Amino acid sequence: MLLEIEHHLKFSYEQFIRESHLEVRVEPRSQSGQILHDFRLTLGPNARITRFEDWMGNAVHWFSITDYHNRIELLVQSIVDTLTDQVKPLECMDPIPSEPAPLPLYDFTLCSGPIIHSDALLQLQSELGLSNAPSIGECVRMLGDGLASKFEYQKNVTRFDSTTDDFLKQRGGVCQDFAHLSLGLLRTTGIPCRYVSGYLHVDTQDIEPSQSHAWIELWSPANGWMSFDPTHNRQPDEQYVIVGYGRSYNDVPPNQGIYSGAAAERLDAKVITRPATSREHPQLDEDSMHIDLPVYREPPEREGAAELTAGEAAASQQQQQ
Amino acid sequence: MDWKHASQGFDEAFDSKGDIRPIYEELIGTFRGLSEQELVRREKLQEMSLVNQGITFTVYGEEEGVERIFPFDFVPRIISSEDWNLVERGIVQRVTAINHFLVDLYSEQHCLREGIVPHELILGSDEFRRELIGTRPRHGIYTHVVGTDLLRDDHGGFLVLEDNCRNPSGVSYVLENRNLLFRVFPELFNRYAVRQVERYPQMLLEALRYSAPRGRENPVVAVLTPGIYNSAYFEHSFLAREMGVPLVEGRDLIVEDDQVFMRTTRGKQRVDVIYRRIDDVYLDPVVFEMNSMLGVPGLIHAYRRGNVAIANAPGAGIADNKSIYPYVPDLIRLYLDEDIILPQVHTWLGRREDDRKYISEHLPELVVKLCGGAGGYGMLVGPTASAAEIKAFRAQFDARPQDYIAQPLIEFSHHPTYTGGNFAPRRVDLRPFALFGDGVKVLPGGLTRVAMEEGSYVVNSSQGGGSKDTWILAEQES
Repeated sequence: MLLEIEHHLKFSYEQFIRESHLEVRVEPRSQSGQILHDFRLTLGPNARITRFEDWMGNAVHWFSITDYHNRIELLVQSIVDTLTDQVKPLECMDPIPSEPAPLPLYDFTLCSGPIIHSDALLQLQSELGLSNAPSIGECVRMLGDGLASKFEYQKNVTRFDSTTDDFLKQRGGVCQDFAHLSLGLLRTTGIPCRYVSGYLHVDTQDIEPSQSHAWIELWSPANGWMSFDPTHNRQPDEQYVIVGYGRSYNDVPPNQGIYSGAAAERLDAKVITRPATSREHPQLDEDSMHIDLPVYREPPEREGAAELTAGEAAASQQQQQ
Repeated sequence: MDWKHASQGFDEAFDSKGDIRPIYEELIGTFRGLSEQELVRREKLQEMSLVNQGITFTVYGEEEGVERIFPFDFVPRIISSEDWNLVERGIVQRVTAINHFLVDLYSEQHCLREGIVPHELILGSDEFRRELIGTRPRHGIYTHVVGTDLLRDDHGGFLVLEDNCRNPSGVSYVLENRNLLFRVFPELFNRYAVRQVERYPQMLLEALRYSAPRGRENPVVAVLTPGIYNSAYFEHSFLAREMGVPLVEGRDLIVEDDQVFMRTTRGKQRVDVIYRRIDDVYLDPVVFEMNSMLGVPGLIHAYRRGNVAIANAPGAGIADNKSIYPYVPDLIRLYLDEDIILPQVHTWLGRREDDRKYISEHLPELVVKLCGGAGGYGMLVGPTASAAEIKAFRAQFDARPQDYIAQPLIEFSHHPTYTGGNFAPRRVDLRPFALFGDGVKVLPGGLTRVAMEEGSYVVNSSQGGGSKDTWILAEQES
């Protein structure tokens, strides 16, 4: 399915801040089953963007803004071709592995970060009887059905840094919480599995908007990585777009960074998806290469602070090199 | 004044019959020529010098951060040029292999794929920085400064006890001890050709500049300290002053367009090399510890782009993990195809089932250490511990055995030490310092730490240890 994705990230600050350093992980991966045809990242205020690939092969873009500003806007545009994976995790007949995981999988067998190896986790793991499942497929089915009956999808109950213990207590949360809890349950059962961050395209957007989404992949010796969406208790299809892999959310947050200044931050994120008509975005003209937002050399509350034009800002940066 | 020699184990100044070893004859003769009164006078002079210079360190654990004078013992330790040659070759080999290991860990990971080092050890460690996989520091150097802790066993042979690749401290005492001894007992130096240590700051600066980003002429170096409350702040300021470079804290640095600048009274100045004396996780809050106010936002991005060098390189600390130590002979074989020159101490790993059982059954005989620990914290010295201490430690060990290693108690060497008006044997270790720039160079000297209590095995300054001047003798011309 050829999809066009627009991801808007708008940071606003109550006061002007002096300095921002941000990393974003928003570029869909190009790999078997998914091709990234076009990708564009537009930023305001203007700053140099650097791209690198992290240890998982996820694309990371970073930038710094070191003049006073009170807004940052990012527009991420991707055109991606997706396929539905033919491997069905629920039909996987591999037994649950009894040997410790080899090197490339080892990172995905440990509970780390927000996935907490606690008594509460182990209790649920045994309640669901995951260790007794005759196959990985059956284990995934028991996991999906178990979570669907015991946990509810609820917004604003958990936070971006909530742990599996928080979710186990509150019994309500979002896709990230479902993914983390599933990873904890599968890892304590002995199945290597990883966190997937991405987008979910929804056809009927008037009912449920498209959004950033999180699900998991688990390893089968016979099939390799197989994906599963514990929030919806189903196998992901061509409406799922993969951005990054990690041990947990902590390895692939869509944005992470730091700013200097005493001001509260507000982030508005919006995702729009639609079937694409072309594999490339129309060419941009010079003016639309970045989003026009002002920066100031001095905090604007002071007298005589002059707004830097884009040209001046660029010139001052060049002098500093 | 008596000169007692060690009744058991190896005494560096006396042989087993109690006769003075030839290398110490002149030294002991000179001390014997001084009256008791004169010694008391010199000791006072020394104390005054220490206080005036403000050579202090901070002890954690008792009260809160007590600043103390580092006790100095004026009986120097002498190492012959033959012994030193072996130590030097052994350290160069070890540092080279460990650096290869770090390059490998953060790129191809041959050592893990071939099972030389169990991957669980690395991937399960907090010190492994996945964020820096694929980022190669200039010239592939991770360990610009290494302090290797050595002991001499009961036959006088040198043994490696541990490696300090993260932030080894103590070199300032090597220089200050030499100054102090020269001021207080100048006559001791008359009969010996002692190799100089005073060039260390220059050697360090050269090694740091060697790692500067490509194309920077006259690279600017800065020492990054966590600040005055750090236990090694004295050393940070000492090294900055001696190298003639600025001492900065995180808030003095700013990253713009992936370049690092220092705020100075004359505006911003670009920094090319950062000799950091803070832990990895406090380097950059964007990439590591989000709650830290100590770091420099954007620093790791600048580093990744090759715009700044950081020494030691972030991620080097994994090599300090005590569970890596038993594999160093294998790493030397893997990367250098050589046999290890300096032997090391047999080590049991709490993470190995058989070893765990052995440790648990032999706690009272063993020295047990936390894999990630340093400075003598989280450590049990079984043979000197009380039953209650062993019991308490056992509970900690049983809860997380994989976090510990154990070694037999080494009856390491004694050295005459001035204590209570007499010269008595006290245990000593040795930390030489190696610099990795254009090749690996070992400073001909080192920090000799001495356990000030009779019979004690604990030499850590944080646990009441003192230090000595360490003399490496120049090779005799034949």
